Amino acid sequence: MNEGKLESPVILRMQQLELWRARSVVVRDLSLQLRAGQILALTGEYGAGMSAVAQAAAALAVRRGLRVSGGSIWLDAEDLAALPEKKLRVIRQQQVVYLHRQSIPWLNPLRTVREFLQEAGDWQARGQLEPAAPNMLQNLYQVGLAEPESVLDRLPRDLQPEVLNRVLIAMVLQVGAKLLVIDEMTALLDATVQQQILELLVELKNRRNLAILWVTHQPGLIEAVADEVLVMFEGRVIEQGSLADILAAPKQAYTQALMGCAVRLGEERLRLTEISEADRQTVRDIVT
Amino acid sequence: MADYLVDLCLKYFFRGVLVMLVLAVFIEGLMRLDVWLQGEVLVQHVWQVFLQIFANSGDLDGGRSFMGQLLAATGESLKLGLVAFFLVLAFALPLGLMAGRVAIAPSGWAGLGRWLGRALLLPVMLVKGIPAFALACAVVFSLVYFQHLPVLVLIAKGGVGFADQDAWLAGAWRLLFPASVMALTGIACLAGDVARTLRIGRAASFVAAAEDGAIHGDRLFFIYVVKNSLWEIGSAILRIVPYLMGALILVEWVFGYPGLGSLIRAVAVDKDFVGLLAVGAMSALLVLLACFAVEWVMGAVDKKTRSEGGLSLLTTREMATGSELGRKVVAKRWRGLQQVGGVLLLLVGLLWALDLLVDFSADGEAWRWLDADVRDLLSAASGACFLSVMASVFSVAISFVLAGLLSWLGGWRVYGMLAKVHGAVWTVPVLFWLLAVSVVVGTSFWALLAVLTVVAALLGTGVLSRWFLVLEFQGWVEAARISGLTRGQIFMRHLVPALWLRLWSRMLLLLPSMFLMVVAVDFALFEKGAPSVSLRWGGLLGSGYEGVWQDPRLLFFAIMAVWAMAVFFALLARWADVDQEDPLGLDIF
Repeated sequence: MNEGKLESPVILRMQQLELWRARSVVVRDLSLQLRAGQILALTGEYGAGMSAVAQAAAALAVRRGLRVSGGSIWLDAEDLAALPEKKLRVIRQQQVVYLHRQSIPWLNPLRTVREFLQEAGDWQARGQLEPAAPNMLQNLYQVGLAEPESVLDRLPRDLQPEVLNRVLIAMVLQVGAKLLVIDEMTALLDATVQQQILELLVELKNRRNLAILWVTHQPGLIEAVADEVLVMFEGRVIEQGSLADILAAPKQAYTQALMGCAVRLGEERLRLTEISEADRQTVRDIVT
Repeated sequence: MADYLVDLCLKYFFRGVLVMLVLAVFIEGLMRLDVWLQGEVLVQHVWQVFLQIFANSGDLDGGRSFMGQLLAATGESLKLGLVAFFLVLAFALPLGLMAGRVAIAPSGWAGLGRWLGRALLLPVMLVKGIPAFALACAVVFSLVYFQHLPVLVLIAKGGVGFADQDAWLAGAWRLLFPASVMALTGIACLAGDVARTLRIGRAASFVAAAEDGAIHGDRLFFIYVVKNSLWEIGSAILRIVPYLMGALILVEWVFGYPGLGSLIRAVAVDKDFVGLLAVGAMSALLVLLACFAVEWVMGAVDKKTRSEGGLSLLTTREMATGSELGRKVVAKRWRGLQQVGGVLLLLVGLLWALDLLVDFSADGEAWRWLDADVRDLLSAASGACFLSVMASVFSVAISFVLAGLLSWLGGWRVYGMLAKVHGAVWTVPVLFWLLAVSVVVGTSFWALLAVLTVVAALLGTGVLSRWFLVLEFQGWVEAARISGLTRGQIFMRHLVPALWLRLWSRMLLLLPSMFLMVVAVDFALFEKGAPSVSLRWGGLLGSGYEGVWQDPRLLFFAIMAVWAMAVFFALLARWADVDQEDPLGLDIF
């Protein structure tokens, strides 16, 4: 864990959260805490309920058909579970940004980068007709675009996925959000670009004191960026701790197997670890 | 299957009730308007007279009573309609399949090579590209014209005009010729729709996956594309039924065929409102029965149709499950040229309409060398263009505002209600509404402009509402919602600009069809001495019958002028890069 961040304010706190979608429970008894300047990685297999947690943290539970049947979701001083959609919308405008694997295809094909950033900056520049242009350029520069002017008037289809990812992150800066929720945003990128985007996120976390909740199904990426790790299985948290603890001494065989699935550069292995049904059953026995 | 049939019966019962309600309200309103315009007092409601007719419906009086006339006319129209319908299916389905096959994969049995394949596609594209009504007119007028020349001995029964009720065609020809002309309208629509449906079906991911798995050629086409498109093809067949009914009205007038179409025109010109209600209801009933039969047959042969709860003429279900919602809005660069192109398009249309581009007036000096008849025709065409351009611009503007309001206010729920009423309105042929209103409000330029604008705005509102709905399902609109934008902000920043782009393509579709509607109304109202439209193209076709038809140039000029206008606008739009849908299907060029 990043020791220096212990004193930072808590941005997101979930306590004994239970989430339902239609008639089935997707998350049970989940508690977590995320501080400013910290990256918390949620990992597990598909269907473990990580995306539901991410959507609830991003004030999207109602919009995505999730029902909070127990517990609380505190973003700063507000309980998202108790707020109506109208207030949740204001929170999404000003405090939290949700990026997911469809974020790039979901960019309006008719709008330019300048318009995206203007829209994102509107909340901070309320009362002004136009957000300050230098701020827009500065944010683009901060996300690693050396010539920000050259992309300002481009449409999404004119830009490479890597650049578009940087533009999306620039929009986060433009909003001035406290919390960034990333749900498999980099899953569709190639390894090199993925690495660059992750490095950028770490840099912004440190420089802008951003809290990042990061959902990934790729355990190998956790080592590069996460301060804390939370392992989920069938809607429950089965292990939680600092990155070092989880990597060095996982308490569950399941976690060990999951981390064994990670692909690491420079490591020579004939085959990846397999998560056996016995491992899964052991976890089920423990948590139920 | 039994459940499906029960659902179907219920659906058509409620649809029939809705159509009757819409018709009754419309005719009652029309009658009140007429009474008000004449400065008289309303004595009896239209539905009261209507019920009296039904109460006495047992007394058919040997066909002399109105009920007797109505039933006799229905029987005749049914014969004509059925022959036309099966002709459409016989020609349009193979043609559409062939066009779809060539467009999808020019290999296998359709692998005729690039240019030969295109040559095969060309007739379908041309037929689709020519407004269906113009095509039907071309054939009708050709047949009429040929009477005067002993070219086709079969139909040359002497110099009897189309306005004459005497049978100038005898025996089977009397049925077959009008039916063939009607079928042309349907073939043009259906073949193009089937080809388009198959092209959309080809884009499905499971078809691509099958192709990756080395399935190709005819197997890919029939098993993966055609089989999975049956529901959409069934819907396309369903949609041509009201079109055929519209064609029935026109073709019966022209051929002097004693069916519902002739009766509609007769009662409209006589301002017989009860008759209008009865004939409108009967034509709607025929459309509903035909649609019911198509849905029943499709349900029997296609499991998907049964599971989806039946085909649909125009309902919310179709909007929700139709392939259109799955389509992405084409990402086009928002360029100044598009704006300039759009404005230019409008300007050229208006200049043309106002005779500023070319002086087409009948006594224009530049055209003195032409025959007087040709000058009259040019002048009439120019005037009709003006009317159609004006009506198109107004109706598109009204449609945009109305559809936007509906989208803003209600989204799905309001749209669902609108779609049902919209479906009911279009169950009755558009020419019926136009004619009924025209005889009451008169056929002066401004009255016709108002009527055309309202009718086109109704159509346009439906189309644009659907597009607003399609946009609501785009990922980037959902992304805007996630980011916390209000409904108003999403509407102004995302939906309106995207719709603005599409508007120009709707305009291009509207222009030729509005132009043809003007001609049709003018033509239909001419003979009975109703106040004819000042623009006179339709009137000219009628009154100039003796003179005009003796000169072949006039005939071909009239038809080609209509088509040339459509092509001109399409090419202009292509040059200006404003057409996203390629409305006339001219991508063959």
